[in-house]
Amino acid sequence: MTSTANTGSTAAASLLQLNDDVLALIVRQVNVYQQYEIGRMNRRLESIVQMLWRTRVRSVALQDEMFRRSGTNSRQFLAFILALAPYMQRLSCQQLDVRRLRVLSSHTLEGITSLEWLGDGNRRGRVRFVDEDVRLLRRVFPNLRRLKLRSCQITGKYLCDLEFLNELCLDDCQFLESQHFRDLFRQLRLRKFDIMEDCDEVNCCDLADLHLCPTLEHIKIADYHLCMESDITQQLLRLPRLQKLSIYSKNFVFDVLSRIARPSNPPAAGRPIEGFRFSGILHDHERFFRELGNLRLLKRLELHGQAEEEEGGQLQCLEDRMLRQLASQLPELTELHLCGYQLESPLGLLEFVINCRQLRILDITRTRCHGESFVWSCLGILAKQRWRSQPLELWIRLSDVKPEIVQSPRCLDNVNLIKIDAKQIGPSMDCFSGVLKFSFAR
Amino acid sequence: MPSVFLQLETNDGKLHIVERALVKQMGIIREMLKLECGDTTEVIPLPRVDSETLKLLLKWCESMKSWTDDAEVSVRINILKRLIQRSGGDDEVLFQLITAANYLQMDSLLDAGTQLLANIIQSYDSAEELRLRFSIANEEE
Repeated sequence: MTSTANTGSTAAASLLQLNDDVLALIVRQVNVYQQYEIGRMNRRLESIVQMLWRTRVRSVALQDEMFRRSGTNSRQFLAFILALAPYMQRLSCQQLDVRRLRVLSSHTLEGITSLEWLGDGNRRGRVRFVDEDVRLLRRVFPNLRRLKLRSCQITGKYLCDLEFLNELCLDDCQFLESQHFRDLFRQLRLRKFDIMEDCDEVNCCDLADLHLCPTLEHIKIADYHLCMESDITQQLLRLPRLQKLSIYSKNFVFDVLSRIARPSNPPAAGRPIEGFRFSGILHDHERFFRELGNLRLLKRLELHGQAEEEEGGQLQCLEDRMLRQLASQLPELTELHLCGYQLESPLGLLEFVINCRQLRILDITRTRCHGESFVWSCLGILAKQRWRSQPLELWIRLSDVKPEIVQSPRCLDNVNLIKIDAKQIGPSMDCFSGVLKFSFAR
Repeated sequence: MPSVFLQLETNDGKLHIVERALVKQMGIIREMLKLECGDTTEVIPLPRVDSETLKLLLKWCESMKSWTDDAEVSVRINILKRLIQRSGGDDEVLFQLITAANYLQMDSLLDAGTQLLANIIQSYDSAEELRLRFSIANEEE
């Protein structure tokens, strides 16, 4: 398309001939820095940009590419941030040059409560995010509540100075020093602490003092954090407000599970574990289920199997015996998600329907359990359970039960017993492989 | 029984006889027909649309008819680009189409048109280049 037809008598087409509503529709589709540049061209455009920013820029993501193309200098970058500051609450800096952050050094952006600094792991030298930049965060963002740092060259020295922080996530920060974490846990009133991502890399930190932070509700760590210098498992289980504990483990899944499901010194004041989730490939389901059986008060169990690449993408097989044993040990279950497995027969799964009197949801997404015969057997059992006050929800998406079964007369006649859902995808499909997640009763 | 055709009068006084099914994509006419209980033999005035623009809008509607589900925006943008290129290819045509789409409540065209303009804006590296391309006067001038 060309900019104008050179007719001599007609004026060149101008963007400003469009009305404000249309201009707003266009402007909101360009990146926030371009919105700023457009706003500076003209008072009418400025008011349109301001109107958009009043409602649409609470969360802003900045990438280096936005500024490199137009050759934005420090003064221009500063002017842009100060113009945007009154509207922003959450800022994500994605591989931004840290020198741009340092330009803000003598300013205060009080409205920002959440910051993500997602660094470039390949940067070296002066352009990496270092301890002094954490001090800068304290000055520039005095009201920071949530902080995520990735690929930063920090030791953790000044994190304890971010006094209002209640969520901290450290990802691929390879220079952390354990000695700084005592002050961090003692001084901050953290609710969430996450040091789990990319912890295959050298993200080792002794978290022996994690228990000094009684406000913690959600912890995400790796298996080796549980027992660096000493076993901190019991201390974690004693945290008074703990709601969720996620532990990534590549090779020690059984060990982690047994430490928590069968603690050697059970904490007197520990709260029961009511939910457990795991996604990954296991090579000893029998052992895994044996440990799971110790979580006697479990209400929600969620297991996501993964196809084994060496076996040509076949689903992992679960034997009836293991499932029947587990069903007898977990009578309090209200939700069972057994997704992506090949079952030996329907019998193992049916044992849960028989034994778990509170069972409301049975999720067999991606699982192969002998198709419709499982559904009819299930219905037969449910028909005899006179104490049931609500139907069992059965989620069958991508399983070997055909979705058309929902319309079958037999199912339609028994909606008071079983409600089949062929669309539900189940909670948290984005769970990481190898993560054991425990949820505690409130 | 409602007539298969409708009469639309553009702002240059020209009368256009168009298929009812085609103009149902124009929200404002669709609503008007609902109020008239679906049957009108009267001429429907379009004071903000000229003849040439209406012809292009009808070509757009014709293209959209063959999509049973809503086409993805990238597909719609390509259709719009071809339409504009065949009509001389300048910004004025695009602006007229977007303005008309906004007035006539043609959401699929409005989305495609505004996205296309946004894409053009994003292809420029500097504000000055944008100012020149889209004839945005400096307010000091």
